[in-house]
Amino acid sequence: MQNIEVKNLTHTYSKKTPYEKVALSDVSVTINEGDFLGIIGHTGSGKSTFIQHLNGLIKPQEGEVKVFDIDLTKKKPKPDLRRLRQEVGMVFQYPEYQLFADTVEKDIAFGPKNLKLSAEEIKNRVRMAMQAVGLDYDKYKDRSPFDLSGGQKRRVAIAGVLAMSPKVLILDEPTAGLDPIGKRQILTLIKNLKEQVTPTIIVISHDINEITQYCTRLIVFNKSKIAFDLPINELFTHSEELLQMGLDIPLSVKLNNCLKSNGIQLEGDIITPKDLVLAIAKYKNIGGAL
Amino acid sequence: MRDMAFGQYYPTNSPIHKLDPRAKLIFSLLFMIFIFFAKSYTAFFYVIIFLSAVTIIAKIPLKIVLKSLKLVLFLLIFTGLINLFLYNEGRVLAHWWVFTITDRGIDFTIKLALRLSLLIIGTSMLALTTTPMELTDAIESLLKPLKYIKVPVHDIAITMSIALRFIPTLMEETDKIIAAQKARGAAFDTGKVHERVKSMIPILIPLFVSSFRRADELADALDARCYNATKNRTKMKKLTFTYRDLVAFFVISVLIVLIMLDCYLTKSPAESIFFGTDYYIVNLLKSWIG
Repeated sequence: MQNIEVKNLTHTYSKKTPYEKVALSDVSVTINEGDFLGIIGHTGSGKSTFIQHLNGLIKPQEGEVKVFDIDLTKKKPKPDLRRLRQEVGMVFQYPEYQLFADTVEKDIAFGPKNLKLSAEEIKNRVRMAMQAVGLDYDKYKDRSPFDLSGGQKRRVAIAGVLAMSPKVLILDEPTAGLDPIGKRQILTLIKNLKEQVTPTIIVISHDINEITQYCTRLIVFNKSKIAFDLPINELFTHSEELLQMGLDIPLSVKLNNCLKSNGIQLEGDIITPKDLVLAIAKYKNIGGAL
Repeated sequence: MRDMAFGQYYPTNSPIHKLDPRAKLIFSLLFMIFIFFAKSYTAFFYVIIFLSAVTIIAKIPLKIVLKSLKLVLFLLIFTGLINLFLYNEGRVLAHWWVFTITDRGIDFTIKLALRLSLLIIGTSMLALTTTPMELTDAIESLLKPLKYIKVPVHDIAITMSIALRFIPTLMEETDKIIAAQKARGAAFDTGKVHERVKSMIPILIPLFVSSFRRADELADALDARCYNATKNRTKMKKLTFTYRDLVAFFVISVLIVLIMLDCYLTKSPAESIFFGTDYYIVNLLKSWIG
Protein backbone atom coordinates (compact mmCIF):
# COMPACT_ATOMS: atom_id res chain seq x y z
CA MET A 1 0.00 0.00 0.00
CA GLN A 2 1.24 3.46 -0.83
CA ASN A 3 1.71 5.67 2.18
CA ILE A 4 3.52 8.65 0.80
CA GLU A 5 3.78 9.90 -2.72
CA VAL A 6 6.05 12.75 -3.74
CA LYS A 7 6.17 13.93 -7.34
CA ASN A 8 8.58 16.46 -8.89
CA LEU A 9 9.03 18.32 -5.62
CA THR A 10 11.15 21.46 -5.79
CA HIS A 11 11.93 23.80 -2.92
CA THR A 12 13.98 27.01 -2.79
CA TYR A 13 14.82 28.84 0.42
CA SER A 14 14.75 32.66 0.58
CA LYS A 15 13.39 32.90 -2.92
CA LYS A 16 14.24 36.05 -4.85
CA THR A 17 16.79 37.34 -2.37
CA PRO A 18 20.59 37.22 -2.53
CA TYR A 19 20.39 34.33 -0.05
CA GLU A 20 18.40 32.14 -2.44
CA LYS A 21 19.28 28.47 -2.14
CA VAL A 22 17.77 25.50 -3.95
CA ALA A 23 17.22 22.75 -1.38
CA LEU A 24 15.27 20.25 -3.47
CA SER A 25 14.94 20.01 -7.20
CA ASP A 26 12.56 17.68 -8.97
CA VAL A 27 12.39 14.97 -6.32
CA SER A 28 10.00 12.04 -6.80
CA VAL A 29 9.61 9.22 -4.28
CA THR A 30 6.99 6.65 -3.35
CA ILE A 31 7.08 5.25 0.15
CA ASN A 32 5.05 2.12 0.83
CA GLU A 33 3.63 0.70 4.01
CA GLY A 34 6.19 -1.50 5.72
CA ASP A 35 9.16 0.30 4.24
CA PHE A 36 12.20 0.55 6.46
CA LEU A 37 13.75 3.45 4.62
CA GLY A 38 17.11 5.04 5.19
CA ILE A 39 18.03 8.47 3.84
CA ILE A 40 21.66 9.47 3.53
CA GLY A 41 23.38 12.50 2.11
CA HIS A 42 25.63 15.39 3.01
CA THR A 43 24.64 18.27 5.23
CA GLY A 44 22.70 20.58 2.96
CA SER A 45 21.86 17.90 0.41
CA GLY A 46 18.14 18.45 0.95
CA LYS A 47 17.25 15.48 3.10
CA SER A 48 15.95 17.51 6.05
CA THR A 49 13.93 19.75 3.76
CA PHE A 50 12.50 16.65 2.14
CA ILE A 51 11.27 15.03 5.35
CA GLN A 52 9.80 18.26 6.64
CA HIS A 53 7.49 18.20 3.64
CA LEU A 54 6.13 14.83 4.69
CA ASN A 55 4.85 16.32 7.91
CA GLY A 56 3.45 19.57 6.51
CA LEU A 57 6.09 21.72 8.22
CA ILE A 58 7.14 23.02 4.81
CA LYS A 59 4.49 23.61 2.19
CA PRO A 60 5.32 22.32 -1.28
CA GLN A 61 6.31 25.19 -3.62
CA GLU A 62 6.33 23.12 -6.78
CA GLY A 63 5.32 19.52 -7.30
CA GLU A 64 3.00 17.22 -5.39
CA VAL A 65 3.07 15.70 -1.93
CA LYS A 66 0.42 13.21 -0.92
CA VAL A 67 0.47 11.46 2.45
CA PHE A 68 -2.21 8.77 2.86
CA ASP A 69 -5.31 10.55 1.58
CA ILE A 70 -4.08 14.02 2.53
CA ASP A 71 -3.07 16.02 -0.52
CA LEU A 72 -0.73 18.78 0.60
CA THR A 73 -0.76 20.51 -2.74
CA LYS A 74 -4.46 21.27 -2.60
CA LYS A 75 -5.49 24.76 -1.53
CA LYS A 76 -9.18 23.98 -1.14
CA PRO A 77 -10.13 22.29 1.04
CA LYS A 78 -7.08 23.06 3.14
CA PRO A 79 -5.11 19.93 3.99
CA ASP A 80 -5.80 18.72 7.54
CA LEU A 81 -2.35 19.35 9.05
CA ARG A 82 -3.36 18.25 12.52
CA ARG A 83 -4.34 14.80 11.28
CA LEU A 84 -1.25 14.65 9.07
CA ARG A 85 1.03 15.34 12.02
CA GLN A 86 -0.69 12.65 14.00
CA GLU A 87 -0.24 10.06 11.26
CA VAL A 88 3.34 11.02 10.45
CA GLY A 89 5.40 11.25 13.62
CA MET A 90 8.60 13.27 13.36
CA VAL A 91 11.55 12.94 15.70
CA PHE A 92 13.93 15.81 15.01
CA GLN A 93 17.67 15.95 15.47
CA TYR A 94 18.56 16.23 19.15
CA PRO A 95 14.91 15.80 20.11
CA GLU A 96 15.78 16.16 23.80
CA TYR A 97 16.13 19.91 23.19
CA GLN A 98 12.38 20.12 22.76
CA LEU A 99 11.59 18.82 26.25
CA PHE A 100 9.88 21.44 28.37
CA ALA A 101 7.57 19.99 31.03
CA ASP A 102 8.49 19.45 34.68
CA THR A 103 7.74 15.73 34.61
CA VAL A 104 8.35 13.02 32.03
CA GLU A 105 4.66 12.15 32.04
CA LYS A 106 3.51 15.70 31.27
CA ASP A 107 6.01 16.05 28.48
CA ILE A 108 4.97 12.85 26.75
CA ALA A 109 1.30 13.77 27.26
CA PHE A 110 1.78 17.04 25.31
CA GLY A 111 1.07 15.42 21.93
CA PRO A 112 -2.02 13.41 22.90
CA LYS A 113 -3.34 16.44 24.80
CA ASN A 114 -3.12 18.48 21.62
CA LEU A 115 -5.20 15.77 19.97
CA LYS A 116 -7.87 16.51 22.61
CA LEU A 117 -8.06 12.90 23.81
CA SER A 118 -9.72 11.89 27.08
CA ALA A 119 -7.64 11.92 30.27
CA GLU A 120 -7.74 8.15 30.47
CA GLU A 121 -6.71 7.69 26.86
CA ILE A 122 -3.85 10.13 27.37
CA LYS A 123 -2.63 8.14 30.36
CA ASN A 124 -2.80 4.93 28.35
CA ARG A 125 -0.92 6.49 25.48
CA VAL A 126 1.83 7.76 27.80
CA ARG A 127 2.15 4.35 29.42
CA MET A 128 2.26 2.65 26.03
CA ALA A 129 4.84 5.09 24.65
CA MET A 130 7.10 4.79 27.69
CA GLN A 131 6.91 1.03 27.49
CA ALA A 132 7.78 1.17 23.79
CA VAL A 133 10.96 3.15 24.47
CA GLY A 134 11.88 0.98 27.42
CA LEU A 135 11.29 3.40 30.28
CA ASP A 136 9.49 2.06 33.33
CA TYR A 137 6.28 4.08 33.73
CA ASP A 138 6.09 4.09 37.53
CA LYS A 139 9.79 4.74 37.98
CA TYR A 140 10.15 7.62 35.55
CA LYS A 141 6.77 9.32 35.16
CA ASP A 142 7.32 11.87 37.96
CA ARG A 143 10.99 12.57 37.29
CA SER A 144 12.06 15.81 35.63
CA PRO A 145 13.17 15.16 32.05
CA PHE A 146 16.09 17.54 32.64
CA ASP A 147 17.60 15.24 35.28
CA LEU A 148 17.85 12.22 33.00
CA SER A 149 20.88 11.04 31.07
CA GLY A 150 21.33 11.98 27.40
CA GLY A 151 20.09 8.64 26.11
CA GLN A 152 17.12 8.64 28.47
CA LYS A 153 16.17 12.19 27.51
CA ARG A 154 16.18 11.18 23.89
CA ARG A 155 13.96 8.21 24.64
CA VAL A 156 11.51 10.46 26.46
CA ALA A 157 11.44 12.74 23.41
CA ILE A 158 10.83 9.79 21.09
CA ALA A 159 8.07 8.58 23.43
CA GLY A 160 6.52 12.05 23.10
CA VAL A 161 6.15 11.44 19.38
CA LEU A 162 5.07 7.82 19.72
CA ALA A 163 2.26 8.89 22.04
CA MET A 164 0.59 10.42 18.98
CA SER A 165 0.29 6.84 17.60
CA PRO A 166 1.76 7.66 14.20
CA LYS A 167 1.52 5.25 11.29
CA VAL A 168 4.76 6.52 9.83
CA LEU A 169 7.71 7.45 12.02
CA ILE A 170 10.49 9.71 10.77
CA LEU A 171 13.71 9.99 12.74
CA ASP A 172 16.36 12.58 11.90
CA GLU A 173 19.81 11.45 13.05
CA PRO A 174 18.43 9.52 16.01
CA THR A 175 21.82 8.53 17.42
CA ALA A 176 23.74 11.79 16.91
CA GLY A 177 25.80 12.81 19.92
CA LEU A 178 25.12 9.72 22.02
CA ASP A 179 27.72 7.46 23.60
CA PRO A 180 28.08 3.89 22.25
CA ILE A 181 25.67 2.44 24.81
CA GLY A 182 23.09 5.10 24.12
CA LYS A 183 23.51 4.50 20.39
CA ARG A 184 23.05 0.77 20.71
CA GLN A 185 19.94 1.25 22.84
CA ILE A 186 18.38 3.62 20.33
CA LEU A 187 19.17 1.25 17.45
CA THR A 188 17.55 -1.68 19.26
CA LEU A 189 14.64 0.59 20.08
CA ILE A 190 14.13 1.54 16.43
CA LYS A 191 14.20 -2.10 15.36
CA ASN A 192 11.62 -2.97 18.03
CA LEU A 193 9.42 -0.05 17.05
CA LYS A 194 9.39 -1.24 13.46
CA GLU A 195 8.27 -4.70 14.54
CA GLN A 196 5.76 -3.75 17.19
CA VAL A 197 4.58 -0.15 16.98
CA THR A 198 4.84 1.72 13.67
CA PRO A 199 4.80 -0.23 10.41
CA THR A 200 6.69 2.34 8.34
CA ILE A 201 9.92 3.95 9.52
CA ILE A 202 12.15 6.50 7.81
CA VAL A 203 15.58 7.20 9.28
CA ILE A 204 18.04 9.90 8.29
CA SER A 205 21.62 9.17 9.20
CA HIS A 206 25.19 10.09 8.47
CA ASP A 207 26.49 6.79 9.71
CA ILE A 208 26.29 4.29 6.89
CA ASN A 209 27.46 1.41 9.08
CA GLU A 210 24.60 2.06 11.42
CA ILE A 211 21.83 2.64 8.91
CA THR A 212 22.64 -0.51 6.95
CA GLN A 213 22.06 -2.60 10.04
CA TYR A 214 18.32 -2.17 9.85
CA CYS A 215 17.09 -0.36 6.74
CA THR A 216 15.94 -2.35 3.74
CA ARG A 217 15.90 0.50 1.28
CA LEU A 218 18.17 3.50 0.94
CA ILE A 219 17.67 6.88 -0.69
CA VAL A 220 20.81 8.88 -1.39
CA PHE A 221 20.47 12.67 -1.67
CA ASN A 222 23.17 14.55 -3.50
CA LYS A 223 23.10 18.24 -4.39
CA SER A 224 19.35 18.60 -3.78
CA LYS A 225 18.50 15.64 -6.05
CA ILE A 226 17.94 11.95 -5.44
CA ALA A 227 21.05 10.15 -6.64
CA PHE A 228 19.94 6.61 -5.79
CA ASP A 229 16.78 4.98 -4.53
CA LEU A 230 17.55 1.28 -4.24
CA PRO A 231 17.06 -1.78 -2.07
CA ILE A 232 20.05 -2.03 0.20
CA ASN A 233 21.57 -5.09 -1.47
CA GLU A 234 21.70 -3.31 -4.83
CA LEU A 235 22.98 0.04 -3.64
CA PHE A 236 26.54 -0.96 -2.95
CA THR A 237 27.18 -2.13 -6.47
CA HIS A 238 27.50 1.65 -6.89
CA SER A 239 30.26 1.94 -4.28
CA GLU A 240 32.47 3.98 -6.57
CA GLU A 241 29.83 6.63 -7.22
CA LEU A 242 28.98 6.87 -3.52
CA LEU A 243 32.62 7.42 -2.65
CA GLN A 244 32.86 10.06 -5.36
CA MET A 245 29.94 11.92 -3.78
CA GLY A 246 32.00 11.99 -0.62
CA LEU A 247 29.74 9.50 1.14
CA ASP A 248 30.97 6.52 3.06
CA ILE A 249 30.22 2.86 2.38
CA PRO A 250 29.87 0.22 5.10
CA LEU A 251 33.07 -1.32 6.40
CA SER A 252 31.99 -4.80 5.35
CA VAL A 253 31.38 -3.62 1.80
CA LYS A 254 34.82 -2.03 1.78
CA LEU A 255 36.40 -5.27 2.96
CA ASN A 256 34.45 -7.27 0.42
CA ASN A 257 35.56 -4.95 -2.37
CA CYS A 258 39.12 -5.34 -1.15
CA LEU A 259 38.81 -9.12 -1.24
CA LYS A 260 37.28 -8.95 -4.69
CA SER A 261 40.16 -6.92 -6.09
CA ASN A 262 42.47 -9.60 -4.70
CA GLY A 263 40.60 -12.30 -6.55
CA ILE A 264 38.46 -13.65 -3.72
CA GLN A 265 34.81 -13.86 -4.77
CA LEU A 266 32.39 -14.27 -1.88
CA GLU A 267 28.80 -15.31 -2.44
CA GLY A 268 25.63 -13.46 -1.55
CA ASP A 269 24.84 -9.85 -0.55
CA ILE A 270 27.39 -8.49 1.85
CA ILE A 271 26.36 -5.39 3.76
CA THR A 272 26.65 -6.02 7.49
CA PRO A 273 29.60 -7.56 9.38
CA LYS A 274 27.42 -10.63 9.95
CA ASP A 275 26.93 -11.12 6.19
CA LEU A 276 30.65 -10.89 5.70
CA VAL A 277 31.53 -13.40 8.41
CA LEU A 278 28.99 -15.91 7.11
CA ALA A 279 30.17 -15.50 3.51
CA ILE A 280 33.78 -15.98 4.53
CA ALA A 281 32.89 -19.09 6.52
CA LYS A 282 31.05 -20.43 3.51
CA TYR A 283 33.93 -19.58 1.20
CA LYS A 284 36.38 -21.33 3.44
CA ASN A 285 34.27 -24.50 3.62
CA ILE A 286 33.80 -24.62 -0.13
CA GLY A 287 37.33 -23.60 -0.96
CA GLY A 288 38.65 -25.82 1.79
CA ALA A 289 41.76 -23.71 2.17
CA LEU A 290 41.98 -24.50 5.86
CA MET B 1 11.93 33.54 9.72
CA ARG B 2 15.01 32.37 7.90
CA ASP B 3 14.77 35.51 5.78
CA MET B 4 14.84 37.73 8.84
CA ALA B 5 17.88 36.15 10.40
CA PHE B 6 20.41 38.23 8.50
CA GLY B 7 18.91 41.55 9.49
CA GLN B 8 18.53 44.13 6.79
CA TYR B 9 21.99 43.67 5.31
CA TYR B 10 21.86 43.41 1.54
CA PRO B 11 25.11 42.02 0.16
CA THR B 12 26.40 43.56 -3.06
CA ASN B 13 30.01 44.36 -3.69
CA SER B 14 29.62 48.12 -4.01
CA PRO B 15 31.81 51.09 -3.07
CA ILE B 16 29.22 52.05 -0.44
CA HIS B 17 29.52 48.61 1.18
CA LYS B 18 33.27 49.02 1.20
CA LEU B 19 33.23 52.37 3.01
CA ASP B 20 34.72 52.33 6.46
CA PRO B 21 31.86 51.48 8.86
CA ARG B 22 32.99 54.26 11.22
CA ALA B 23 32.67 56.73 8.38
CA LYS B 24 29.25 55.37 7.48
CA LEU B 25 28.12 55.62 11.08
CA ILE B 26 29.29 59.22 11.38
CA PHE B 27 27.77 60.13 8.02
CA SER B 28 24.47 58.62 9.09
CA LEU B 29 24.52 60.66 12.29
CA LEU B 30 25.29 63.82 10.30
CA PHE B 31 22.48 62.94 7.91
CA MET B 32 20.05 62.47 10.79
CA ILE B 33 20.99 65.85 12.26
CA PHE B 34 21.00 67.88 9.07
CA ILE B 35 17.82 66.52 7.59
CA PHE B 36 16.09 68.61 10.26
CA PHE B 37 17.59 71.72 8.70
CA ALA B 38 15.97 70.93 5.37
CA LYS B 39 12.99 73.31 5.32
CA SER B 40 12.26 73.92 1.66
CA TYR B 41 11.26 71.58 -1.14
CA THR B 42 14.52 72.46 -2.85
CA ALA B 43 16.45 71.15 0.16
CA PHE B 44 14.39 67.95 0.15
CA PHE B 45 15.13 67.63 -3.52
CA TYR B 46 18.88 67.74 -2.76
CA VAL B 47 18.40 64.98 -0.17
CA ILE B 48 16.38 62.84 -2.57
CA ILE B 49 19.08 63.20 -5.22
CA PHE B 50 21.70 62.24 -2.65
CA LEU B 51 19.81 59.17 -1.44
CA SER B 52 19.03 58.04 -4.99
CA ALA B 53 22.70 58.29 -5.86
CA VAL B 54 23.63 56.24 -2.77
CA THR B 55 21.01 53.60 -3.64
CA ILE B 56 22.20 53.32 -7.22
CA ILE B 57 25.87 53.15 -6.29
CA ALA B 58 25.11 50.57 -3.57
CA LYS B 59 23.20 48.50 -6.17
CA ILE B 60 20.24 48.02 -3.89
CA PRO B 61 16.88 47.47 -5.61
CA LEU B 62 14.33 50.21 -5.00
CA LYS B 63 11.88 47.61 -3.69
CA ILE B 64 14.18 46.72 -0.81
CA VAL B 65 14.71 50.37 0.08
CA LEU B 66 10.99 51.10 0.12
CA LYS B 67 10.41 48.01 2.25
CA SER B 68 11.97 49.83 5.19
CA LEU B 69 9.21 52.43 4.88
CA LYS B 70 6.52 49.80 5.14
CA LEU B 71 7.07 49.40 8.87
CA VAL B 72 6.44 53.08 9.58
CA LEU B 73 3.70 53.56 7.01
CA PHE B 74 1.08 53.62 9.74
CA LEU B 75 2.99 56.24 11.71
CA LEU B 76 3.40 58.33 8.57
CA ILE B 77 -0.30 58.23 7.74
CA PHE B 78 -1.37 58.83 11.34
CA THR B 79 0.85 61.87 11.96
CA GLY B 80 0.08 63.10 8.47
CA LEU B 81 -3.68 63.09 9.06
CA ILE B 82 -3.40 64.73 12.48
CA ASN B 83 -1.26 67.53 11.09
CA LEU B 84 -3.40 67.99 8.04
CA PHE B 85 -6.64 68.43 10.00
CA LEU B 86 -5.47 70.12 13.18
CA TYR B 87 -2.91 72.66 11.90
CA ASN B 88 -4.64 76.00 12.23
CA GLU B 89 -2.30 78.67 10.87
CA GLY B 90 -2.49 80.00 7.34
CA ARG B 91 -5.26 80.50 4.82
CA VAL B 92 -8.24 78.24 5.52
CA LEU B 93 -9.18 76.06 2.55
CA ALA B 94 -11.82 73.90 4.21
CA HIS B 95 -13.42 73.73 7.63
CA TRP B 96 -15.64 71.17 9.35
CA TRP B 97 -16.31 70.84 13.09
CA VAL B 98 -12.86 70.88 14.80
CA PHE B 99 -11.05 70.03 11.57
CA THR B 100 -9.48 72.70 9.41
CA ILE B 101 -7.36 72.31 6.33
CA THR B 102 -5.08 75.27 5.67
CA ASP B 103 -2.51 75.91 2.97
CA ARG B 104 0.28 75.97 5.56
CA GLY B 105 -1.16 72.78 7.06
CA ILE B 106 -0.82 70.97 3.73
CA ASP B 107 2.68 72.34 3.30
CA PHE B 108 3.66 71.25 6.82
CA THR B 109 2.16 67.77 6.40
CA ILE B 110 3.96 67.08 3.14
CA LYS B 111 7.26 68.27 4.58
CA LEU B 112 6.84 66.21 7.73
CA ALA B 113 6.08 63.08 5.74
CA LEU B 114 9.07 63.76 3.47
CA ARG B 115 11.38 64.36 6.41
CA LEU B 116 10.31 61.18 8.21
CA SER B 117 10.54 58.96 5.13
CA LEU B 118 13.91 60.34 4.09
CA LEU B 119 15.20 59.97 7.64
CA ILE B 120 14.18 56.31 7.69
CA ILE B 121 15.50 55.55 4.22
CA GLY B 122 18.76 57.30 5.05
CA THR B 123 19.33 55.37 8.23
CA SER B 124 18.27 52.05 6.72
CA MET B 125 20.91 52.70 4.06
CA LEU B 126 23.44 52.16 6.86
CA ALA B 127 21.84 48.87 7.88
CA LEU B 128 21.51 47.73 4.27
CA THR B 129 25.17 48.25 3.45
CA THR B 130 26.88 47.41 6.76
CA THR B 131 26.97 44.04 8.51
CA PRO B 132 26.10 44.07 12.22
CA MET B 133 29.67 42.94 12.94
CA GLU B 134 31.15 45.92 11.10
CA LEU B 135 28.80 48.19 13.02
CA THR B 136 29.93 46.91 16.41
CA ASP B 137 33.54 47.27 15.34
CA ALA B 138 32.79 50.83 14.34
CA ILE B 139 31.07 51.59 17.63
CA GLU B 140 33.96 50.09 19.57
CA SER B 141 36.45 52.14 17.65
CA LEU B 142 34.48 55.36 18.04
CA LEU B 143 33.94 54.85 21.77
CA LYS B 144 37.64 54.23 22.40
CA PRO B 145 38.23 57.64 24.04
CA LEU B 146 35.86 56.55 26.84
CA LYS B 147 38.50 54.04 27.90
CA TYR B 148 40.33 56.86 29.65
CA ILE B 149 37.44 57.30 32.03
CA LYS B 150 37.50 53.53 32.71
CA VAL B 151 34.50 52.54 30.60
CA PRO B 152 35.02 48.87 29.54
CA VAL B 153 34.53 49.71 25.88
CA HIS B 154 35.96 46.46 24.59
CA ASP B 155 33.79 44.29 26.84
CA ILE B 156 30.73 46.25 25.84
CA ALA B 157 31.62 45.78 22.20
CA ILE B 158 32.23 42.06 22.53
CA THR B 159 28.96 41.61 24.42
CA MET B 160 27.19 43.48 21.64
CA SER B 161 28.78 41.46 18.89
CA ILE B 162 28.06 38.18 20.68
CA ALA B 163 24.44 39.22 21.11
CA LEU B 164 24.21 40.10 17.43
CA ARG B 165 26.03 36.95 16.42
CA PHE B 166 23.50 34.81 18.25
CA ILE B 167 20.37 36.37 16.83
CA PRO B 168 20.40 34.13 13.73
CA THR B 169 21.39 31.11 15.83
CA LEU B 170 18.55 31.65 18.26
CA MET B 171 16.16 32.26 15.36
CA GLU B 172 17.16 28.95 13.86
CA GLU B 173 16.79 27.28 17.24
CA THR B 174 13.34 28.80 17.67
CA ASP B 175 12.37 27.59 14.21
CA LYS B 176 13.47 24.08 15.10
CA ILE B 177 11.65 24.02 18.42
CA ILE B 178 8.48 25.40 16.84
CA ALA B 179 8.69 22.71 14.16
CA ALA B 180 9.22 20.01 16.77
CA GLN B 181 6.28 21.11 18.89
CA LYS B 182 4.10 21.56 15.81
CA ALA B 183 4.98 17.98 14.89
CA ARG B 184 3.50 17.04 18.26
CA GLY B 185 0.26 18.73 17.30
CA ALA B 186 0.82 22.10 18.99
CA ALA B 187 -1.15 24.96 17.49
CA PHE B 188 0.29 28.43 17.97
CA ASP B 189 -2.01 30.50 15.83
CA THR B 190 -5.44 29.42 16.93
CA GLY B 191 -7.46 29.71 20.12
CA LYS B 192 -8.14 32.47 22.63
CA VAL B 193 -5.48 34.88 23.83
CA HIS B 194 -4.70 33.06 27.08
CA GLU B 195 -4.51 29.76 25.21
CA ARG B 196 -2.06 31.28 22.77
CA VAL B 197 0.10 32.67 25.55
CA LYS B 198 0.07 29.26 27.20
CA SER B 199 1.04 27.63 23.93
CA MET B 200 4.28 29.64 23.99
CA ILE B 201 5.55 27.75 27.04
CA PRO B 202 6.69 24.66 25.10
CA ILE B 203 8.78 26.99 22.93
CA LEU B 204 10.14 29.36 25.55
CA ILE B 205 11.35 26.77 28.06
CA PRO B 206 13.47 24.76 25.60
CA LEU B 207 14.73 28.04 24.16
CA PHE B 208 15.86 29.28 27.57
CA VAL B 209 17.42 25.94 28.42
CA SER B 210 19.43 25.92 25.21
CA SER B 211 20.40 29.60 25.54
CA PHE B 212 21.83 28.99 28.98
CA ARG B 213 23.63 25.91 27.73
CA ARG B 214 25.08 27.91 24.85
CA ALA B 215 26.12 30.78 27.11
CA ASP B 216 27.92 28.31 29.38
CA GLU B 217 29.71 26.69 26.48
CA LEU B 218 30.66 30.04 25.04
CA ALA B 219 32.04 31.25 28.37
CA ASP B 220 34.16 28.10 28.60
CA ALA B 221 35.36 28.60 25.03
CA LEU B 222 36.31 32.21 25.79
CA ASP B 223 38.22 31.11 28.90
CA ALA B 224 39.92 28.31 27.01
CA ARG B 225 41.26 30.83 24.54
CA CYS B 226 42.51 33.10 27.31
CA TYR B 227 40.03 35.89 26.76
CA ASN B 228 41.06 38.92 28.81
CA ALA B 229 44.49 37.46 29.58
CA THR B 230 46.21 40.12 27.53
CA LYS B 231 45.59 43.81 27.89
CA ASN B 232 45.18 44.81 24.29
CA ARG B 233 43.65 42.49 21.77
CA THR B 234 44.59 43.03 18.17
CA LYS B 235 42.13 42.83 15.32
CA MET B 236 42.23 40.57 12.29
CA LYS B 237 40.41 43.10 10.14
CA LYS B 238 41.73 46.52 11.01
CA LEU B 239 39.52 49.43 10.10
CA THR B 240 41.31 51.98 7.95
CA PHE B 241 40.06 55.11 6.29
CA THR B 242 40.77 55.27 2.55
CA TYR B 243 40.33 57.75 -0.27
CA ARG B 244 36.78 56.38 -0.64
CA ASP B 245 35.83 57.71 2.77
CA LEU B 246 37.30 61.05 1.82
CA VAL B 247 35.20 61.21 -1.34
CA ALA B 248 32.09 60.23 0.64
CA PHE B 249 32.92 62.88 3.23
CA PHE B 250 33.22 65.48 0.48
CA VAL B 251 29.85 64.49 -1.01
CA ILE B 252 28.02 64.59 2.30
CA SER B 253 29.68 67.97 3.10
CA VAL B 254 28.33 69.37 -0.15
CA LEU B 255 24.86 68.14 0.80
CA ILE B 256 25.11 69.73 4.23
CA VAL B 257 26.36 73.04 2.82
CA LEU B 258 23.52 73.11 0.30
CA ILE B 259 20.93 72.44 3.00
CA MET B 260 22.42 75.08 5.33
CA LEU B 261 22.62 77.67 2.54
CA ASP B 262 18.98 77.07 1.76
CA CYS B 263 18.04 77.28 5.42
CA TYR B 264 19.93 80.42 6.49
CA LEU B 265 21.16 82.45 3.55
CA THR B 266 18.20 82.59 1.20
CA LYS B 267 15.73 85.22 2.37
CA SER B 268 12.02 84.76 1.88
CA PRO B 269 9.26 87.01 3.29
CA ALA B 270 7.47 85.58 6.31
CA GLU B 271 4.02 85.98 4.77
CA SER B 272 4.84 83.67 1.85
CA ILE B 273 4.26 80.00 2.42
CA PHE B 274 7.28 79.24 0.25
CA PHE B 275 10.51 79.03 2.15
CA GLY B 276 14.12 79.54 1.16
CA THR B 277 15.11 78.75 -2.39
CA ASP B 278 11.54 77.65 -3.13
CA TYR B 279 10.45 81.32 -2.94
CA TYR B 280 12.87 82.35 -5.68
CA ILE B 281 11.99 79.40 -7.87
CA VAL B 282 8.26 80.11 -7.56
CA ASN B 283 8.82 83.80 -8.35
CA LEU B 284 10.96 82.87 -11.32
CA LEU B 285 8.23 80.52 -12.59
CA LYS B 286 5.59 83.22 -12.04
CA SER B 287 7.50 85.84 -14.05
CA TRP B 288 8.11 83.25 -16.74
CA ILE B 289 4.45 82.39 -17.14
CA GLY B 290 3.50 86.05 -17.11
